[in-house]
Amino acid sequence: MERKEEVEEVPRGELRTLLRNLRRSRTATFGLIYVIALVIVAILAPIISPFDPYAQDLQNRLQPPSFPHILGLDEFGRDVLARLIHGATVSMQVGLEVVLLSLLIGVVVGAISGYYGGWADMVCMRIADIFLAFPSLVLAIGIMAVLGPSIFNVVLSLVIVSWPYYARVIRSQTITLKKMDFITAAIAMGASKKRILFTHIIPNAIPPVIILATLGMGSAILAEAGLSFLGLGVNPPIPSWGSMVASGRDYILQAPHIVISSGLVITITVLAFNLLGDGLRDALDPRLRI
Amino acid sequence: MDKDKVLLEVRNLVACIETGSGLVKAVDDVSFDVRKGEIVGLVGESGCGKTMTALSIMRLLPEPFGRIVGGSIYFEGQDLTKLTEEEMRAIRGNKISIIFQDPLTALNPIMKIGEQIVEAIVSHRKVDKNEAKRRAIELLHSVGIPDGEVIASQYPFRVSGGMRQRVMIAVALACDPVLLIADEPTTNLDVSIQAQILELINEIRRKRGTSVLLITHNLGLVAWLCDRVFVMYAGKIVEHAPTEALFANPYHPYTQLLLKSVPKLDSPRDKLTTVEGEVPNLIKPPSGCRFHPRCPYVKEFCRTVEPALIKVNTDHYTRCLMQDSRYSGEWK
Amino acid sequence: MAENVLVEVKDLTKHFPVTKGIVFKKVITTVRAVDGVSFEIEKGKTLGLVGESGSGKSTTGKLILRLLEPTAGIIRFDGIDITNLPQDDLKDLRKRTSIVFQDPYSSLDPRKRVFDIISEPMVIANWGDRRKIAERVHELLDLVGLRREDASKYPHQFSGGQRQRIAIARALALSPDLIVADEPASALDVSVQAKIINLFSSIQERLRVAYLFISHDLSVVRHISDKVAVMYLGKIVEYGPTDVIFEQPLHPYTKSLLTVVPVPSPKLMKNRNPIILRGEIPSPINPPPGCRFHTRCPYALKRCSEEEPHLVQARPHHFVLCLFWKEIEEGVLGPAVR
Repeated sequence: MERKEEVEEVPRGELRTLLRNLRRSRTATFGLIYVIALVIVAILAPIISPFDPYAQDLQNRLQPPSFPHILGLDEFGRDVLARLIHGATVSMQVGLEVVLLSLLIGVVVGAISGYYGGWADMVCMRIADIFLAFPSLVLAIGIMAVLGPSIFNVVLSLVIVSWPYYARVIRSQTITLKKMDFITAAIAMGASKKRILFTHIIPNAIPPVIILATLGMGSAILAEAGLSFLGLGVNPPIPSWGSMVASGRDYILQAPHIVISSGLVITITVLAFNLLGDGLRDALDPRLRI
Repeated sequence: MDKDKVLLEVRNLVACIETGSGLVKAVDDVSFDVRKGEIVGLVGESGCGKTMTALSIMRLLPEPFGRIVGGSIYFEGQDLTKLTEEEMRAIRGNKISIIFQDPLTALNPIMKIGEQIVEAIVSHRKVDKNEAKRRAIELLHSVGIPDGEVIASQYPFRVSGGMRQRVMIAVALACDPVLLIADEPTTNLDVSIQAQILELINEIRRKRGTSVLLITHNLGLVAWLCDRVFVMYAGKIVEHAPTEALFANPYHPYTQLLLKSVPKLDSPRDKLTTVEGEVPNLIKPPSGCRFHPRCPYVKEFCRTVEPALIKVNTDHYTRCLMQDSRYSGEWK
Repeated sequence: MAENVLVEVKDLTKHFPVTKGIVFKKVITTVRAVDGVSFEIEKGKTLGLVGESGSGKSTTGKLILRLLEPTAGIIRFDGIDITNLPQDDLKDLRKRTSIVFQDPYSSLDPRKRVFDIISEPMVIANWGDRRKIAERVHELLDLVGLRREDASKYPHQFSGGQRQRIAIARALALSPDLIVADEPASALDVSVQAKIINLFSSIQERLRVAYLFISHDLSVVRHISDKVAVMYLGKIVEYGPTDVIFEQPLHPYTKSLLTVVPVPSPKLMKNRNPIILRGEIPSPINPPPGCRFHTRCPYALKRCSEEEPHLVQARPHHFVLCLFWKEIEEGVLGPAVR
């Protein structure tokens, strides 16, 4: 133990400690387990789904939960559970794509902005500000209205509204990192700006953004559900939790199981991501050093 | 100056803190005393437990991470470890004050300097605001800030580091404490400013009779200011003596090596003596004598037998088996 | 330039503009961090740069490595004027110099293994193939007293002292001619400081590396330097061989510092007559007119606030920046009574 305080950082070797810290919080653990389970469901959907989500059985439409349709049937006689499972694939796909693409754009823009500064920085940040000025869902709705519903367009519109958040965080991380001694040391050994940016700055700027990304998945999933609810999301008959809530809404009195199950799944999923994100933030916090 | 009157007596103090990797006995059976009007030095490197000791005396250990688990702290006839929080509050800043290494974090950043001194005064004395303000300016003068009115109306970040340290001392002296604990008060200051602050502390002792417990890693400061010195290592006191005796005749190997490893201003450029190894992990401290893994004189039994403090001279004690008559023969 | 001189610096100046406004920047004032500084560093020897806050010593260190752009002055490295070379032409300089910082916690990339940290200079310089680099890394770890197994670990697994060793190993990667050491031991415990200082000494003995050793700690500087330059508010106020400066200081600032450095010897401390300077260290934004030290100088006369002194050779190799050094030395001018 030395007199000076340690710089906040999470090197790769700390994964085990990270998991240990996460497990200390019951809510974070729940979040982690749920998310992992959801990923598995999303990937194995065609295998684990008990029924074909598109198979209609109009005679038994709106059937309440019973065996073998554990969660009942929707307004077209399709198995609700099967649609929820396949909806998970859609949600996870959208969530992952949105986050990864926004992260990519955000990292590039933010790192270049923060590192080079000057005009590039100003221009990029003003553009980011423009996007940030709009309420993101409204902007996404506007874009979807122009582009038309499809998974690709949903991802595109959500990426457009989310990249500025990542860019800002990466930019401020970059500005802080730029001043650190190990960057000066790299300059002193003749490292090019490109090398410094890619091998030193970006790997160190990303860890705090992981938390943002986790929470971001939750909001992307929620946003997709919202867009689909408004009919601006994925095309029917592709199952989406949001559109299930929308169509189930018309039958809320006769067949509440549709709205309840799809609404519940959205709520718990977003909650799980938030709990995981919060748990990550606490787990990555440098412990009180006395 | 009545030097023989004991002001503060710490007896067998044990304090633990919980760290990410386990429970640590940061202060392990520490005993020392501070007499009236003297400056006592508590010296050691980082992690030795000196700051924890200071915080324990003030009952400022961060609950629930740290607490005193044993021993007593006698002050003015009371055992501070047994007092309630309210009773401690009457003593803190009033009878015993503490100043820290970094005034920027110890002072309230959003409160003007004058207001902070006033607050210190009114929490313990029944005076009206104006009287308190007058005293605050007076205090600033007494710590070497001639334009007290100007400084009193500033925020801490606006003034220099040396000035902030003086302000912190002014806050600490607001209620004329009998004991001032100074934890690394000049570590962050420039040499020339450090000299001013040390002179100030000396003056405080001379003019007000305030006793000082000086906590530092800098042996030079100890040589400058202290009447008696207690050397700490791995949570224990390993040697203590009057200052001149300690420097002239260090008995404990750690003290000896520490003294030899400091580059001297006035001696030729030979290689500095170093202490082998690293500061021990206090979660699992070394068995027997805590210093044995790094001691150049280590013997087999040092690993198993824990030495007690043994008298080697008047008022001079050391925690080493080399001075224990049962074992000292082994080193002939 | 003499054969044995590695670095020659003349009238080196660095002013930092303080600006207002985001788009159209207006300069409102300047920080005169380094103001006309001249010195030499000999091959294989150490120049100690000593000073307090605002003295400009760290800035000077970065300037001679062109990590900062000088505002004025000349820097010569091994005879070549590197003052205005474009960054791309500094490759040679970068290979022959390196720097060690004060803070062992921020000078190593936390996400890189020790191996990558130490080998980076070699990778950038295209120094050798993988095997050659690996061999060299192990050699360097041995040299600084670390183990080969440490190469695969991360910085956070080491103590402050060990991290400094890693930083030193990195600095030695390409066998530099000059290392700028900016307070390399100040953030470490006393016993660890000694090890790092010893390491610097032994490396210089074995490899004949020159050092610019920057520190506020006079005892450390005395221990390791061949020559010393004392800085105050951007200027060198005294410059000469170490023993001469420490035993027969001429500048009032140096004299004062030497009497207030805490030394672990109670006898010495009691017998000293400390010259405690009054007042705060002025800001380099608005340094005092005339002699910058006059506001705190116990000997200051009126002329000191009006006229700026020039560096004068008081004795062979011993330079001082004071109008009245001779009078003070001869006892004609005494300190003002407090």
